[in-house]
Formats: sequence, structure tokens, C-alpha cells
Amino acid sequence: MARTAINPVVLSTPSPQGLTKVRMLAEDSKTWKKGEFCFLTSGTVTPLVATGSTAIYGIFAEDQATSTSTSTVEVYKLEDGTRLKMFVMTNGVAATAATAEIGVKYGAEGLSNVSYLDTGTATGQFEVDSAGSTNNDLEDAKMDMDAAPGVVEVTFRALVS
Amino acid sequence: MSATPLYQIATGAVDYRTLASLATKTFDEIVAVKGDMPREGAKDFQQLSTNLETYKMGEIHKNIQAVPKNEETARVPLISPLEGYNNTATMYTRRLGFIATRQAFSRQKINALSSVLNSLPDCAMVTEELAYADMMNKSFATNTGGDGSYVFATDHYYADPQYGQWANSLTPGAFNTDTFVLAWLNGMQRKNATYNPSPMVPERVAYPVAIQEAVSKVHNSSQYPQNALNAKMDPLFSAWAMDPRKWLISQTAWFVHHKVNESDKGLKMVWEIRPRYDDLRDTMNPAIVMGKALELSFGTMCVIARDWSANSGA
Repeated sequence: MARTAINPVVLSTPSPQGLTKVRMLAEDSKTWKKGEFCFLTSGTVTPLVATGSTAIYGIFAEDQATSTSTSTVEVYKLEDGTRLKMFVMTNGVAATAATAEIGVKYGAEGLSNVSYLDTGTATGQFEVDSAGSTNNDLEDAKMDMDAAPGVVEVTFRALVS
Repeated sequence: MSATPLYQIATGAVDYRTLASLATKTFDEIVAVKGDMPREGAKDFQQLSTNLETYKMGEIHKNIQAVPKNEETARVPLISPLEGYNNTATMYTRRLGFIATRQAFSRQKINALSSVLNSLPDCAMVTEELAYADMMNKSFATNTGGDGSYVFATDHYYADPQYGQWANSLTPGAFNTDTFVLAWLNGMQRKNATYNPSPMVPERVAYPVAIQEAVSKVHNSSQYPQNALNAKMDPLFSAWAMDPRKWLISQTAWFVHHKVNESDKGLKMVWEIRPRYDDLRDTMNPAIVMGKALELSFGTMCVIARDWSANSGA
């Protein structure tokens, strides 16, 4: 039985203290849930709601339940070298872990308050390290990590190339 | 012949006209009907106290995962605990009282008024039992838990939603060996927030007395009822207590309660004021010689009823 996609899980960070948390101005009239990816637009953070993003900035630390204006929000800033566990989609459709080719960098996408790795975006910030089941073999035995939406381990690369 | 209905008066203060039969000379005896009032719902609920208008209760969970492979030269993968669901009970103050006049007592030919005048302790008991039963009566629809679904439903999410959903409501069916096994399985196959086995063992089955015979057949038979093979019943069919209920409205729904710690009970009864009685007097009318007021304040709620496997019956 496949798992249900959840937001990315940070496995480790280059800094020993974890991701740096900052308070930032949020884009008006947007809502999100904690754990979602955000990216920058005109100096504000906004949730990832579409496919193909290659400019992820961080992870929302708290919910924004109702649309407001000039609000600020706490964001965990992603740093180059952060390792994450992510669920896989291809252009908005749940995909198997095998869809994500090891060593390739993909973009991200958001759907229903969940941020995925988007293997439909060939050039992005998330470099695939392994299928989630490779190191988490016993977790995989508990519930399939390879079936769509599959789980992969990735490394965040700040620069898109 | 047909019965004739009675007419009653309730005019506030109880005077000698309220129970006029006590003050007439035609009766040789008048008895106060007592009757028993079943107490049954409290054990379903964790009993809590507060001094505030609302009581919000939440859950948190350990994140229990299999440890991944990780070489010593790599950074250690990290894990974080999980937020759970929460719900809020709102306290409603409830009050009721009575007053009686001097003549209500002095004009009695048969001294029986005092035995029926103070019904307030019973009123408090009824209120409490109805509150308990109301949670169960509306548990498949109307009453919701902390996750937003009904108390008993098939679409509860695990706290870590990657593991999907779980059910504490079973396919509707009359109580028999087949449906009970499914309820037993529902408890035995229960998973914790991170989808690891967290089995629960039936402690008792709460059911309306209307299905007493069906429940008794399962609980008390040594061999399968209506089974020509004389197959022996597994001990699981009797390793629980029968808990016949009189306050339930449904004549078919039945509820398997699993053994859990008191704090793990999903249903909560929060008391702000436990039943309290005060004297009621009127300083401008000395003829009011007796009066009592009852006050209580409580709220009920369901956080997550994972200690139940329920069936709406058939």
C-alpha cells in the first residue's frame, strides 16, 4: 500500500544547529500550512502552489489559516546541502520513487498544501540521492515507499544548474 | 376501556394544591414511587475538572520509525515528534430549583411531600447520563472528534498522515460472532500515530438492552450458535464484560470499548461545577419555608476515540 504524500522531512542540515529560522514578510492574500515550501516573490514569501518551481527558499514554520495583508511569518531557510525526504510527482501526478533518477536535480511543486519533488521539471534545486526505501528498508516494509507517490531522499542545492 | 390522562399543575412554588391528594381525607395511603435510575455512562469518559469556560485538550505523539541505514561518515538523520489533534469542551451552566410553602407541609393528611419534593439529585444524575448518552447517540453523525470527522468514522487520519486513514466505525451489522470478530480485529489491528501496532483488547461491549439476547449468545456460548458442526468458541468471545445500556436511543448500535489507561480515553467529561445544592429562600415571603437550587456546569467532547470500535447495527 502506497503512502499518502506529506510535506518534505528534513533529515540533516549542513549546520549543526539545524535550519535557520527567520521572520519574513508574507505575500498578501495567501494561505498555507506549516511544513510547506515557500519561495520569494517581490521580497515576500509565498507558498508553492504550482508545478515547476526552481526557486524554493524555505519551509513555513507556522500555518496561515486566513488571507491577511502585511503579515509576517516564520520561515526555516533551506541551506545548500540540506538533506530531505520528499514525495514524488511528475507534473502534478503522483509518481513512483523510480521516476526520480539518482543524481538528477529536479524542481518542486505544490498541491493541496503539500510540497513534492517534481520530476517533470528537469532542472531544479533538489538532487536525488536515493529512493527512500534504500536506507529506510524497514520503514518500507511497514508501508511501501516506492509506489506512487514514492519517497526519495534528496539534497537541496541552492544554485540551479 | 381506555386510560384517562392526568392533569398536572406547576405554578412555581409548591403549595398544598400541587399535590392535592396529600391534603384530602379520602386516601388511606399514598406511596411515593421510587424506581431505579441506571448509572452507566461515566466509565466511558475520562473525568476532568476546570475552572474556566472552555477546556481545550490536545494530543502529541512520539515519532516512532524504523532506524534507517546511515554510515558514520554521514550526518545523522533527524526525527521530530508529532502534533496530534485537539478539541475544546464548552462549559454550560445548568440550574434548577424548587420552593415550597408552609401549608404544603402543614395541610398534609399523609406526610409524603418531602419524599418527592426534592428531585434535584435525580435531576443531576439524569443530566449527566443524558450527556454521556448524547455523545454515543450522535456518535456516527452530528458529534465530531478533534480531527473533524464523526466520533466513530472510517476516515480518521493518523497523526502522521503519510500512513493514511483508520476506522473506529465498522460496516453496519447486527451483533453476532462475525461482526464481533471484526470489531475485535479493529482493536487488535489498531496502529499508533506512526503506523506501528498498538493493539487494543476488548474490555466490554456496550449495547442497548434490545439486543441482549444476541450479545448473550456470543458472550455466553461455549459453541458457535446455530452452527451444526459444534465448533468451539474462541475465548475472545467471552473475554469481556456485557454492558447493557438503557440510555441509548438506537436499538441496534453497539460499541466495543477497549482497555486503555484513563488518560487515553477519547471521550472527555469536563466538570466546572459538580452538582451543588444551595438553599432557596424568599426574604419577603416567610411562607416559603423550604427551597433548594441545583447548579452544575460541565462540557463533553471527543478528542480521538481510538479506544472504541463501534457498529451502528442493523
